[in-house]
Amino acid sequence: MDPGADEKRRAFEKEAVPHLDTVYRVALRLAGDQTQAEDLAQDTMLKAYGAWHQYQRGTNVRAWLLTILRHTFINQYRRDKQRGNTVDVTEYEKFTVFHEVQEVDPEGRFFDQIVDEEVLRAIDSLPEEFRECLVLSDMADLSYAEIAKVVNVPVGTVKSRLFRARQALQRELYEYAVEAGYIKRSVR
Amino acid sequence: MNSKRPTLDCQEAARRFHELLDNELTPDVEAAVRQHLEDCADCMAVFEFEEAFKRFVALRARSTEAPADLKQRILGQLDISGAAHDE
Repeated sequence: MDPGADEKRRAFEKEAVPHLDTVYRVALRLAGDQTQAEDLAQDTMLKAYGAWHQYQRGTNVRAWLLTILRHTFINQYRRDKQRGNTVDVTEYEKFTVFHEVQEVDPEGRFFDQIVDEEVLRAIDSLPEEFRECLVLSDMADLSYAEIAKVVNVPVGTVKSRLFRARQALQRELYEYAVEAGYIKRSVR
Repeated sequence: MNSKRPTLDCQEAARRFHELLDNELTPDVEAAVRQHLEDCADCMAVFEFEEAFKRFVALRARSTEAPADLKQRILGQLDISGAAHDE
């Protein structure tokens, strides 16, 4: 191996590879299928390695990897029919669940009874453009500006989608918790 | 709301809760929202609920890890891939 290639590999393993779990988690939420998510994560990391000279040192490498991931997903993986859309985010955008649970559980402890799989199912039921903002913020810790760059929309749009995504997710999980008997529906 | 006069009303403060949770506010706006929260117990209760929910989602959403063999597969492919792209 020549010294340049050796240095490149060392830098990539040190800076990019530690983000593989995040890349895989985001891939799973976009692709919705473990096999596809593994392929998508692998393609993303190999493309990133091939384009490592384009990565600007000092910038957020996670955001850079997730930009590659999203492009790869859209160009090679997205099926004709988009997933999600079972939740109408516009219906809930202004309502926090707090007002319905404040008498019985103002701290929202009922959420803790919900298993991981149910939380992920609820995330997956969000329309794609809302889901990706939620995932990039709450799973990948990107800033609004970084998310805006990854999904190519203005920061204001990110802010609005993220707010509505969280409210819709909260509502979806509250409804699940009521059905599962974790909390009683408020009669207001 | 108590006798102190916050620089933001409840509606204005509530609109910024998510940005506060995400560390996206400028220092002066953040100070105004935090001042409102100190002055308004109702808003503080809503804010703490939203904060707990965000923490809950982040924790649950990060519970999945990449399969153990995925990293090895990627590392095994790096030199082939790198060579192909560098040419």
